[in-house]
Amino acid sequence: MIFTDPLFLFVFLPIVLITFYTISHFAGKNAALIVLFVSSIIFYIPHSWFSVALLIIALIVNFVIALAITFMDDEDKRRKRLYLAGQAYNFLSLCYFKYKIVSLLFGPSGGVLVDIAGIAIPAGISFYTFHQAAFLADAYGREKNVLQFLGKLSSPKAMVSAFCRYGAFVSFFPQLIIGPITYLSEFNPQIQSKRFLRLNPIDLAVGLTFIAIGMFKKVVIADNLAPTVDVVFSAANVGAEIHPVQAWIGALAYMGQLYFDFSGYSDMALGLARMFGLRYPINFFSPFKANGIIDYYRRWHMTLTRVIARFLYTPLSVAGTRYAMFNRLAPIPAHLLSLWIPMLVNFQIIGIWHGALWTFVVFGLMHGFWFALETEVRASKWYRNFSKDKNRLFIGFLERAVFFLPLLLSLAMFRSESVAGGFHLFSQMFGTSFDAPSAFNMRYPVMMLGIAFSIIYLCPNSVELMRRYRPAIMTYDNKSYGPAFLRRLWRPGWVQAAYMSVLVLAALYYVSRQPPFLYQGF
Amino acid sequence: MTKPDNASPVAPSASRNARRQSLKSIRWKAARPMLFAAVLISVLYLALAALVIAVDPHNVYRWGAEPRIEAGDTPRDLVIDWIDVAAKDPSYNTFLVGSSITAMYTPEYMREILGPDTNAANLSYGGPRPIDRDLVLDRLVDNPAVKRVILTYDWTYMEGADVANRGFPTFLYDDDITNDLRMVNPPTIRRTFDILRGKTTYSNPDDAGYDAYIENMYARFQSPPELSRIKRMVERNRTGITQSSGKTCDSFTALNEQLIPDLQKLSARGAQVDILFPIVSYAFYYVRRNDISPTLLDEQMVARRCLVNAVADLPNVSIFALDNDPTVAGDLANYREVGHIYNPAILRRFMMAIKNGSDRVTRENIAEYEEEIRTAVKDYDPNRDYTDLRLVVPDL
Repeated sequence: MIFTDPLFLFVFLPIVLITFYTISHFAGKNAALIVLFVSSIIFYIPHSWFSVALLIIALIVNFVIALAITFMDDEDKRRKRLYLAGQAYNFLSLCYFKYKIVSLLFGPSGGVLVDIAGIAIPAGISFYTFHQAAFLADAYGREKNVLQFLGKLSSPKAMVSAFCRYGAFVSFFPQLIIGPITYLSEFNPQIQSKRFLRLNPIDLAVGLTFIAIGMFKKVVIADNLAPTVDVVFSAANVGAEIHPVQAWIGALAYMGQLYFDFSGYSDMALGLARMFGLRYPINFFSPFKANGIIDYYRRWHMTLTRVIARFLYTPLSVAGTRYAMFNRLAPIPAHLLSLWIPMLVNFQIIGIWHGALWTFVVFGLMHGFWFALETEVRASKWYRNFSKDKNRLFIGFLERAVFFLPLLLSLAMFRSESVAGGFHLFSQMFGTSFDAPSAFNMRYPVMMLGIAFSIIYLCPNSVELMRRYRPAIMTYDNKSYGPAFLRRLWRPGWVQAAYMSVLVLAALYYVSRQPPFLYQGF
Repeated sequence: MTKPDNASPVAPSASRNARRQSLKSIRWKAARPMLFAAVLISVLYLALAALVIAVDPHNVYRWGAEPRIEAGDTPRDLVIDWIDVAAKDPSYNTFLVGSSITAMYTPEYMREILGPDTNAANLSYGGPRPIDRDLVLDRLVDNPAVKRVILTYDWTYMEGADVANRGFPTFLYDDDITNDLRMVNPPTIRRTFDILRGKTTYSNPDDAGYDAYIENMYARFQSPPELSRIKRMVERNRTGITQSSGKTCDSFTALNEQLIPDLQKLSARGAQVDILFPIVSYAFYYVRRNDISPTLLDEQMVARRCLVNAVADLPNVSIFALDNDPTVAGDLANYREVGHIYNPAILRRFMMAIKNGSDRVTRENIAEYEEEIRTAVKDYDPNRDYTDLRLVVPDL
C-alpha cells in the first residue's frame, strides 16, 4: 500500500486507528503495539509475500541477536562476534537483495550472484535494515532504552510480547517504506510515557493536517511535474537535441518533483505517526532554502545523514585522525585522512544507498567533493573575513546563488538514466540547440514550476507551520529561512479545516492517475 | 486551635481532574473542525466509491449497469476508461487497437470499407505502451464475439515489456480489486450519475474539438518555418541514420512476451488479425531518432522483421504496410506531423489494403520491403517534389 492510495486512507487507516485505541483502552500497551505490528505487516503484504518473509526473518534475526548481546557479559568474547554477525547479516542481505552490485554495475557475469538480478528489490529494505542496524548498535553499546524496551523476559508470553514491541518499532507502517530511520531512544520514551495510548484529539487534528499537506505535495505538485521530467530525461538518455529552455525546465522540474515527492511523504509519515500519539524525527526541513551543501544535508533526508555519519563518517574520521596523529603525518595528508577521505566515502555510500547505478556513484562524488570543499572554504580565514564585513542578507543571497546551480546539476545527474545521459542533458542546458523540436507544451510545466518554487522559497514548511504542537523530534537544530511574515502558526479551526479539505479534494482529483513515491524505489 | 485541613489531600486531585476534564473538552472543541472535515470527506468518498462500484460505469465487474458505447461513436483518448465497455459488448465484432495515428478512424468509416457485417469499435488512444496495450489485447482475447482485430505495430513495441503509459488506468484492468477505489474521480462519478439518471450509453463529446485539433496540427506542420525546421533536422541527423543497433529478435520483450502470445490465441480462436505498420514519413526516422533512439531505423526494421517471421505460420494473421511507397511516406504534404498521417486518401488506402489483402508484408517479401525502406530513408531528400508522382488510391 502507499499512503496516497484511497484504500489506505479511507479504509486501512481508520480501521487500524479504531482498533488501536479500542485495544489499548481494554487491553493495554502491549496489545496496542501488537496491533501496530500486525497492521504494519498487513500494510506491507501488497508489496509481495517474499518481502514480508524477508522482513520477518530480519526482525527475528536482529531481535534474537539483540537479546543475546543485551544479556551477555561484556567480557564474553562471543558478544562482539554475535554483534558483528548480526550487522553482517543486515548489510549482506541489503547488498544481496537491493544492490545487486555485481550484476548491475558489472553486467550479468557475476557467477553465483547472477541469480539475484531476478529478484525484485524488497520495498523499504534499506530503511528497515538501517533501522535495525542502529538498534543492534544501541544494544551492543548498552543504550539504556534497550533494556527498558525489551522488559522482563521471564516467560514465552513476555518474549512474544517483546518481539511484537520490537516489530512495531521497526516496521510501524508510517516509516516502514521510506523512513524516517528512528532510534530507539526516540521511540521508547514515548511508548513508556503515560500519555501514549491516550486518545488526544489534537494529535488527530495535527496528523490529519500533515496528511492533507503531504498528499497535496505528492499528488498535485510532484506528480504533475513528473511527465515533463520523464520526457526531458528520456530524451537526454538517447542523446536527443533538446531546446535549452526545455532542458532547464526538465532539470528544474525534477528538482521540484523530488522535493515535493519526498517532502510529501515525510509530512504524511509524521502525520500518520502522530495520529497514533507518536512523534517521529524530522527527515525534511526546507532543504532548498539551505545556504550550502553542509546546511542542505542537515535538512534533506536528515535521519539517513545521521545514521551514515554515526556508522561511517565518524569512525572513519576518528580512525584517520588517530592514524595521522600516531604517525605524525604532515598537515595536508593528515587533513586528507581525517576529512576528505571519510567525506568522500560517506557521500559515495549515500549515493550508492539509492541504488547500484553509475549515476548515483557520480552523484556521490559530486556531493562528496562539494561538501569537503565547502567545509574548507567556510573554515578558511579568507571566507570568515569576507563574510564578516558583508551584509547578512547579501551573504545569504550569495551563498544560495552559489549553492543552487551545483545542486540542480547534481540532482539532474541523480535522475538521469545513465551518466552519458546526465552529461548530455548538461550539454543541452548550456548548449545552443534552439532549433530542436519542442518536446512538450511549455505552458503547464512552467505554471507548475512557478507554483512549486514559490512554495519552496516563500512558504513555511509544515513543521514550521505546526510548530505550536511540537509535531516532530528535531533531528538537527535548523534555522527557519524564508519570509518571516509568511511563517504563520497553524491552529485547528474551521478555516484551517476548510483549507485542508481543499488540499485533500485537489489530491483526490488527481489520485486516480498517480504513480508511487520516488523514494520507494531506493 | 486551627481546624485540621482534611480537604487538602483531596482538593488538588479533584481540581486536577477538573482541569484535565476541561483541557480535554477544550482539545475536543479545538479539533472538532478538522475531525468533522476528515469524517465528512471519508464518508462521502466511501459512499461515492460504493455507488461507483455498484453501478460499475466502466463495466469492469460482473455486476452493474453494463453501459454501452453509442453506436458509431469514437471515444478516442477517453477510451482508456472505456475499454471494457467496448470489449465486453457482444455486438462488436471488430476492434481497432492503435494509437493517435489511428484515432481518426470512425466505426462508420470502417464499416463502409470493411463491409456491412462489420460492427467496429476504435480502441485507439494516445501514447500506448506495452503494458497497457497488452491489457487491452487480453480483453479482446477473452471476448468470444471478436471476429477481427486490427492493430498497429509501432515503435513503442521496441520498449520493454514493463513500460506503461503513465495516464493509463491500469488499476481498472488488473486483477487487484483493492486498488479499484482509485477509479473514484469526477468523470467517473459524473458517468455514474448519468447512468443512474437512465443514460446508459457512452458518447464522446469531443468530435468537433478533435477535428479542429487535427486541422490546426496540419496547418502548423505545413507552415514554411516548420517544414524548414524539419528539413534542417533531417540534414543534421543524416550521419549514422543507417547505423546498426545490434538488436536481435530477443531484444524485443514486448513483442515476444506480450504481442505474439496474444496473436497466437486470437489466431487459434479463428479471429482475423490485421497488423498495420504505421505509415510514418521517412523524415520520422531522422527527427525521432533524436528522442526515441539513435538507431531507430534499424531497430524498427529488425522489430518488423521479427514480427513478420514470428506470425508467418499463424493462420488468419496478416501484416500490411504502405510506407514503401515514396508518394506516401516521402511526401510531407501527407502528414500533420512526421509520424502522423493526415491525407484522407491514404487513410482510406490503408483500410482498403485490409479489405483487399493488398500491400501485405510476408516472410517472402520482408527482405525486399526492408531494403526498400532502408534505401528510401537513407536517400531521403526532404526537398524533393512529389507532384509528378500520382498517389494510388484504389476504389471501393
